[in-house]
Order: sequence, then structure tokens, then C-alpha cells
Amino acid sequence: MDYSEIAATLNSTRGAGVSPRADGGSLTLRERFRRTMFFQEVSTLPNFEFGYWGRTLESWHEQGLPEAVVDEATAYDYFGIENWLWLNVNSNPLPVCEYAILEEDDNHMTYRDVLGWTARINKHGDKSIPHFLDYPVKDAATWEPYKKALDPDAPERWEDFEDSLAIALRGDVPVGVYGGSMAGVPRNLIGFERIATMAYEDPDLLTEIINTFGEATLAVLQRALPRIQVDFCMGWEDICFNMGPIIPPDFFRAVVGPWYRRIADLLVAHGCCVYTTDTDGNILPIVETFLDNGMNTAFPVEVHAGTDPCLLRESYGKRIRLWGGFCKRKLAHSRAAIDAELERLKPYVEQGGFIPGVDHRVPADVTLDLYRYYLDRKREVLHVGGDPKY
Amino acid sequence: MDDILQRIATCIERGKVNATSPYPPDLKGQDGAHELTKAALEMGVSPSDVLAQGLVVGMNSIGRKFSENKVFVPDLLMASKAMQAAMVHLKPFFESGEAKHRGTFIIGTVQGDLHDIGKNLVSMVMEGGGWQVIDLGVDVSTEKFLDALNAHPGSAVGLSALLTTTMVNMEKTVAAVRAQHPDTKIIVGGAPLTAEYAKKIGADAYAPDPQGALDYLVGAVA
Repeated sequence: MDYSEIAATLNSTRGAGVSPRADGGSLTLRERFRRTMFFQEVSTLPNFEFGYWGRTLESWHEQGLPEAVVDEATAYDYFGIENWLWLNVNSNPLPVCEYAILEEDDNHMTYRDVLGWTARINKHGDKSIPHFLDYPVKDAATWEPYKKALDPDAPERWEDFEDSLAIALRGDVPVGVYGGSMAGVPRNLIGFERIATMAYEDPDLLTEIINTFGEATLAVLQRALPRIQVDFCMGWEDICFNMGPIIPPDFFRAVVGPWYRRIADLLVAHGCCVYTTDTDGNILPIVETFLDNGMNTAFPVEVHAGTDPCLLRESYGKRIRLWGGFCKRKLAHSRAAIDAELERLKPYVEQGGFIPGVDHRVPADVTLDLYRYYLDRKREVLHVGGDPKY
Repeated sequence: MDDILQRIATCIERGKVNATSPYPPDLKGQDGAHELTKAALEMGVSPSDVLAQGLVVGMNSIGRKFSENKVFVPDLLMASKAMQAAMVHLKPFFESGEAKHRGTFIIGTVQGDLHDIGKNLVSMVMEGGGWQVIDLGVDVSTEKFLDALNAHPGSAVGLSALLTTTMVNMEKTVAAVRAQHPDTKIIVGGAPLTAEYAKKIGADAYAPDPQGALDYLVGAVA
């Protein structure tokens, strides 16, 4: 499908939703993904999920999950969850120092990341969000090394690209490319509190940092996109909490927004019309900056934080595509709660442009029984694909 | 007197730290919370009035706007910076007993959880609301909460958690606090929590945001 076909599809109001008769079940996952995100009918939606917290699979082993299921890949295979391919290139800074364990005891480990921050993790707990202790970028001088680390043409950035490209070119699954991080990785370099007030206290330096990340992202995509038509582009920001963004919305629109626009235009020029960024929390204060600048898909649509998929679709119609949006808290509650949430989402999923899945990693307080029930009912109610082995 | 207290409140709310701070642009070059608080005390305004009619008014206003999603984390942090600049001048009066806090609030992220952003925001708003804040940090055991309560009897307690896997540790801490200090007001908060869960584990209140914690405690001790 080239861009003219995509554009025509986007302008069409016919053929949206899920229908067992839509394609006779003969479409590849890649075709199903494209048709879903372009509001066309499909027999089964892609069955995509976000993954699991560290303790979740451990906990499920005690509840009967086969021991062979040890990570996300084996879990997806077992649960019948479908997946996509990534082009293996990114626009984050390359390492500026050696990884080092600075302190360790039975319960905790303090380490220095290759990007220079130090953090502490609980060795036995969920490790995906570390407790940051110190940040490397404190001023213009300490920012300097990261400019070089963001060189888009550095050979080590492209070491694995050709291999991943070869795999993606022969696959029948959706291909994604990383869309960079204008504020999320900078936050990890600068610190939560500092970046939050930097727009007010040192806007010039923050603008320079964001622009450097934006330039790197754009340059990487300019080199990668001519080699293959990707199906979606996903960045990473994680800059919203329950109470909204950590960067003032006006500054975000003025400084980050134009980079999203440049990337969106480049993507569209290469036939890719699904553009999103991974941002948890309440995105409502900045969602219009996303949409106005061509970032047309919300992910992972964290319901409990206030980002409700039904509200977004009611507010923005087909301007917004949705990916995620099933409240993880319902999973831990009961079968009735799962059923109610699926039914709540159903009319919006049927509109098209909505790939339903849990709105973040599945937490460890969800039982294996309820998770299987959710997956089974998701197949029945929302008509997602995938073949489980349980 | 009312004028300078109003100006202090404005500086707190708008995050005007001192005369050299560039933010907010329309107040550039003007005195900030630092200078105005010092001036008010030198004029003979009582520390209690500076706290109640200046700092608390400003922080309450920004905290309420934050609850209503009219301002965001950066604005709350700037207000907190301004408040800290003012508190430097009030600290000696608290130490001498001439000024008094509204109460003491012990806060920490529960055992097993290393996240502190939400906890820190609550601490800022509570302090700005006139409370003495004892921040126990992250990964705080039940024993540490009890030790702090023993050292500061009559305090209220705030428990924070980001993860569903660690919020279950709240129940243990709440039960232990109830057993040893039955009259203690306990507030819980954090991304995965709900009012329903707070009630289930025996907490007095669920705070959906920092101002919610402050409002509850102000009502509870009034």
C-alpha cells in the first residue's frame, strides 16, 4: 500500500471495524495491522500486548505457567500474542562511559549507566523504573559530551541495522522504527526536577538539548526510511504522570512539537502514517500537541492515569488512533470487571484505528487465571487474532 | 502589612524565588519570596502571619490549580523553590518555638518501592501548607514509620507507592500503625491506588493529588 492508497483510506468512512467476512482470514499480520490502523475492516485485529513486570511471570509459575515460559518472547508464543519487528537502529545517545556496579548488597544494587546517570534498583523487585540518584547533565559544559554521542552517522549506531533490515524485508509482520525521544531520555540525563523547571529557568539550554535530540532522530530516520517502508514509528517519552506532563505544555508545543511535525512529514513521505510515542500517565494536556503535529496514535493509553481511550475517541474522532487502552487494574479485579471493560471498549474498537491491549505491563497482582480469561475474552469480544497454546 | 503578605503569596504561587531569578518573566528584576519574607519580618510582621497569610496562601492556591489540572508539575516545583527561599528566614522562629507548624506529617514510600516523585510533590505541598514534614525517603519499612511516630507522637502519616506489587505493603504498615498509635491519621497515595483500596486496608484517606492530602489533614485537625 503506498501513501496515496493510505490517504484515500484515511478519508474514507466506509469499511471500518471488525468483521469475520472482511478478508476471509487470509491476510497477514502486517496487512491486518495496516487495515486496522487505517480504519478498514479486518477479520481479526492484531493481538498486541505491552508485556509483563519482572515478578509477573515468576508469580504465574507458581500458578501453573509452564516453566519454559521465561520471558516476553516465550510468553507471547504461549499466550498466542502476536508481535512486530523493529528495525535495529536508534537515535539515542551512544554510551559515554562504562557501565559499572557501584554498590551492591543482598537487596539493592547501585549502578552507573552507560549514559552517565547513577541509579538504584531493588534486586528482587520490579526493576523497570529505577530510583535515580544522580544525573550527568548539570549545565552546558556537562551537556557537551552528549552532542557527539548523538552523532546520527556514528558507525556503531548502524552495526545491526542491515541484519534487522534483511529480516524485516522478508517478513509478513508489521515493521516498526524508533521515533526518538525529545524529552524522555533528556529527562534521564538532566533529572526529573531539573528538567521540569528548566523550561522556566534555563530555556535556552533545554531548547538546545531537545533540538539536538530532534536533529539526531530526523537524520537517523532520513537514512533508514528509504531502505524499507515501515508500518509504524514509535518514540519514547514517558514524560506524563497522573497529574500531566513534567514539561510545561506551552514549551512542549513550541519546542518539541516542531520536531514531531518534521518526523511526521518524513514518515508520510515514505508511506508510513502510524506515528506514536510511548508516554504513560495523563497525556490529555499535551495530546493536541501530538495530534496537531502529525503524531496520530496514542500509546499505551493508561486509563487509571486519566487517559481514557473512549474519551480520546469521542474528543478527536478519527484524528486519533489508539493502541492499548485496557485498564490494567481491571485485570486484577475480577472476571466481571474484565468483561465490563471489554464491553466498554468494544464500540470504539469496532470503529477501527484501535488495537486493544493492556495499558502497560501486566502487574504481578494479576492472576494467571484472570489473565488467560482476559485473553480469551478479548478474542471473543474484540476479535483479535493469535493462537494460544494453553 | 497585608500588601507585603499578598506579594509573598503571589511570589510563592508564581514561583518567583528571588530578585535575580528570571522567572516569571513579567516579574523579572522585582523582589521575590526571599527578599519579601526577609523584609516582612524586619517590618515586624509575625512569623506566624508570614507563614499563614503568605506562604500557605500561595501554596494552597498553586496546589489547588494543580489538582484542577490548570498548572502542572513544573509550576508546582517553581512554587516549592520560592517557598524554600522564604522558609530560610522562618526556620529560626520554628526552632525557637516562636512560630508553630500546623502539625507534623511523616511521609515515605513503602517498603520495596524506590519511587519518590509523587512523595516529594506531596511533601512540598504539605510543607507549603504549614506542616512540618518528616520525609523518611523510599523503601521505608514499617519499623521506620513506627520509630518516626514514636519520635514525633501525634503526627499524621502518608504512605506512597507506585507499584501494585508494593502497594500491598501499605496494608502491613497501616495495621502496625493502627495497633500502636490508633488515633494516627493515615493517608495513602500513588498511581495504582484507589479510594476503595485505601478503605480496604484501613487508611483514613486516599489522596489523588498533593492538595488532596493537605485538604484532608486540614479538615481532620480543624
